[in-house]
Amino acid sequence: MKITLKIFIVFLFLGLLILKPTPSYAWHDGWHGHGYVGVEIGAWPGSYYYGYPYYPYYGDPYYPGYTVVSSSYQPVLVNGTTYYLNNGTYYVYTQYGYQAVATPAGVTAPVVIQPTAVVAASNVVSNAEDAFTVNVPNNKGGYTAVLLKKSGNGFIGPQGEFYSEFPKVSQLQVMYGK
Amino acid sequence: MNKNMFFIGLLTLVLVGCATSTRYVNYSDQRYAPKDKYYAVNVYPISQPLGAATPYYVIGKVSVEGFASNGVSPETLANQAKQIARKKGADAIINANTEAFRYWGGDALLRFTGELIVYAPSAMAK
Repeated sequence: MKITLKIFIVFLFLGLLILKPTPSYAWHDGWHGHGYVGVEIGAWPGSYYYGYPYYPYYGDPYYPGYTVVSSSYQPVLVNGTTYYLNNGTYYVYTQYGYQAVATPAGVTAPVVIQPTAVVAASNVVSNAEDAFTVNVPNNKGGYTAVLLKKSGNGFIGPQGEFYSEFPKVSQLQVMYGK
Repeated sequence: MNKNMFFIGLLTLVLVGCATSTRYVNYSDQRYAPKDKYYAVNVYPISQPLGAATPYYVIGKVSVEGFASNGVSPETLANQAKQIARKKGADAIINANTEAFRYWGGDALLRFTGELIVYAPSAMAK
């Protein structure tokens, strides 16, 4: 038995020497592959991360129980219809996923609603412990108050939509700027 | 005793030998029947947008990565992504891209990302 234990320890040590770390991954719907939780283990002077932040590596975070709307699909409003632009192709969101569609009539160049506008301090009019009200400019020249509630690491909007981080005014304008 | 030692050693090496990590994110609640293992999944790079001429739905995003020192190559990553596509019932992968992140010590992390699509008629048939 002692010999078995010793051999196991030797194998384990050898394994740890060649183990390369990778970030932890979670599967969205239970399909399991080679994903595993990795840690920074390696024989010195072996693997070292350097130079760039490893997390978050992905724009689309993992939320158990949520269907993730990809951040790489930029919402575009054309004639009152919300399209999503990704890699030069227009999409509409359906129950089957993002459906590729022809470039909407009247669009000569992609007009992407860039998420560059930062929520100014004056937009946030109230800040309860877990709720924030943001005044979103609407197309009538006024403002629409949008209540955001904190949920876990993100926020939930009035229509139940989930934002992984505090949404920008331009994001809220897509839904509440009409 | 010898069998036990062999089994324990083998198990340890198998656990260590998982050279790649994968991740898949669904874009909708819709699910599709898996394709058989011989189904040819086309991979379209990000530089080759499919456009809307062929109607399709983007159903999810896949990412596979691994270290070059573990024998991982762009081809192995793409093949693994294709396997995932078959399991998810996808017809093809679009916006495919492979990145390499250099590490101190000479190693490199290779990462394949792409989006799974199903062609519109097959999606509507489900």
